[in-house]
Amino acid sequence: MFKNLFLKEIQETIYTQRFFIAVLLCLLLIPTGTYVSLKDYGQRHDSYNESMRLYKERSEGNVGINFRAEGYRPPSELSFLSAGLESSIPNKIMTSNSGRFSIESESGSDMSQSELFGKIDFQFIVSYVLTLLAFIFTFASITGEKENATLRLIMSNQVPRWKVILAKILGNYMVFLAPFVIALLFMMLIITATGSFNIFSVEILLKIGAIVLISMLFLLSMFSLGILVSTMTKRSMTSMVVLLFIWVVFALVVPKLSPMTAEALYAVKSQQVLTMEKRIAGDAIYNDYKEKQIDLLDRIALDYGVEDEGELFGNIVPLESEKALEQYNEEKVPLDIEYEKRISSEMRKLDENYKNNKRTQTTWARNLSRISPISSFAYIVSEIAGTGLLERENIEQNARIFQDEVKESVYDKFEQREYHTSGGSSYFSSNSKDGIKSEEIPVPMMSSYVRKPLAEILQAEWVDIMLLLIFNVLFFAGAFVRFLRYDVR
Amino acid sequence: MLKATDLTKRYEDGHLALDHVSFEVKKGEIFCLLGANGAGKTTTINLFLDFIEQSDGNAYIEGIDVHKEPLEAKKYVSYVSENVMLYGNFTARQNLDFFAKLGGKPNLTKDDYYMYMRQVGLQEEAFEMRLKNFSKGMRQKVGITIAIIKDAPNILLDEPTSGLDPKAAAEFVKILKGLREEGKSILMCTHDIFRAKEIADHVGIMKEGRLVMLRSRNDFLEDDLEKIYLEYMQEAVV
Repeated sequence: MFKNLFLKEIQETIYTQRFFIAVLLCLLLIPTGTYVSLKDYGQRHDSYNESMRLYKERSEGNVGINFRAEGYRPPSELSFLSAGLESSIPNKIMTSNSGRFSIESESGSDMSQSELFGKIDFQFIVSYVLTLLAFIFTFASITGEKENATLRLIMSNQVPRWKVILAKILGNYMVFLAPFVIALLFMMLIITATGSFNIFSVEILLKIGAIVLISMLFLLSMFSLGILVSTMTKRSMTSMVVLLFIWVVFALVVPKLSPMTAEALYAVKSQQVLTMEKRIAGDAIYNDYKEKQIDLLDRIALDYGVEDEGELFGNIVPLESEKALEQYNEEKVPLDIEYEKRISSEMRKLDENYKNNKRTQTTWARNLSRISPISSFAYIVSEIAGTGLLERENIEQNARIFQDEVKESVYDKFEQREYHTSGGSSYFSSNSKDGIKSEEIPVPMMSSYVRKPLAEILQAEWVDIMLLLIFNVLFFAGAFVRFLRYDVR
Repeated sequence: MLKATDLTKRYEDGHLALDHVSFEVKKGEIFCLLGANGAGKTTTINLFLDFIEQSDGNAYIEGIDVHKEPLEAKKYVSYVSENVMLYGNFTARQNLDFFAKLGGKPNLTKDDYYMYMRQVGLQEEAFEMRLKNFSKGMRQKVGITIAIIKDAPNILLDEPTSGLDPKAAAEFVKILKGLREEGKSILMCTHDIFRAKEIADHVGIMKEGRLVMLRSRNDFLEDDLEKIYLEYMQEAVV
């Protein structure tokens, strides 16, 4: 009996216009979106290669203690599935001999039209188009049968209600998945044909598989929701209006409103304010350092019997002057180290504080947006595709590794000292430890950019995965229970 | 056999849709329930199909209490609704196939379905036509074919002739007579007093949820059924 009901649902749905629309949209949007996104990926990859080449070209022979090596984050291969934050994640790493690396965006925004309207990637198609389609598939699943009196006819037979509702959810879902799966096969064909990247790497295949499974789980929750609403209403038109309202809330209102609400509830100062604060703190520390430097000079001047520290190096006998300079250079070293430490610690403190506040605000926004399954879905897919928030942490990890590599291959090969002249000015001197000339040191290149493995991403995204499962259970069970008590008249 | 004993339905808003209605439809009998809209005819059918819960009394199908054992009771009843829509994108045969399997007849062949459709007078070219192209009379015939295929001993008909042209209605009545001869118990709710007079073995007139009159064929043929009905309806208006 279940088989009969299930097959009827499949057959009935296949004959409808909505199935034709689903086939059309899936076969049109997914392969087209994939092709366009892959082209875009190709361009970004070319630009990445060009940046690397230019960096190497202009750095040849210039490697030394003050050299700032550059590493570039390659565009994520899976960004064609979810563009996510790809364009706003910094893509350039710069090392320094102080041990502090910086991460920045090389090109910034290209101010393209797609930034205004968003890109038509896989995540967009599933989140918006297929969700809407899932609602179109299900809004009349119960109410339509009621209006046609076929539900009365079915229920006048020896049919348990749970079989009817289960057949409805699964039958409709299977039909809906058919064009989706075919479109995915086309997508894989396009990736292979364009040769944009090696699709046959295990990690890539696993990640694509995970995204497809998560998409199916997400779409099942939307199907169950559609059927739940259909069991809660008496007329198809009411069901459609309610589902459209839900779609607007889930797809547009919640994801856009939650960051704004988080900003209002947990305000964080702007980047400009942070820069100002850093400048003020830096100035205060520098002034303190300068005062200590003058104190040191005063003390040395006193030791050498000169009243004014300005006369220290010029107005005493050359031999004494040389001794004074030597003593000053020696005693200044701890001052310099302390200054460096204080500056570094204060800047790090301000940065960390800002980052923590920003992180808290983002967590608030994320948690608020999780009311909508579409948000949870977007978070999981973008993280797996390497274009989510985790990628911001990932580039830092890669930067740290690159900094260490450059330290070992370049900075550790030099010694540097700061000297003060008798004229009062100072200069740095660096010497290679092994007598290697600067031009002989190869330009340090970032050996590889490590992406977060799937297992780690899934672990980090467990909340959203659990939420998708909970949404599924809630909507499915809701539709089930509602139909058991549904007035079929 | 269909039996209602003190069947009562009061809705949550307090409206009394059915007030202690009792009757019995024996084997090989057609029982027509007449009454104005809202008299409680469809509520009676809904209670026999367990679509709603009674407030008092019981409905029995083949002696089985419908509310206590709905699935078991439904084994012994077929139902034809007022407006048979069925699945518009399915052909007549596909509709029959789906409902036949639901009704416990999984092994029927295409020829069997054709034979049943011929039996109710459906034209050959309509067998494999999509139902959305059918007239109301044709759809009604498919509806009664579903009931025939199920071959249950009891049939519930809710306004089956409403909207049918006279020829189609006459054909429908002919089919019902055939089913009565096969020994089916048929409960038909209708406005159509002329059809009721033509085929009913018993007639009940319902008014505001109560069964105000119950007469056998001999009784209502002696008196003028139309006159009796109008008298009761007149009282209702007053």
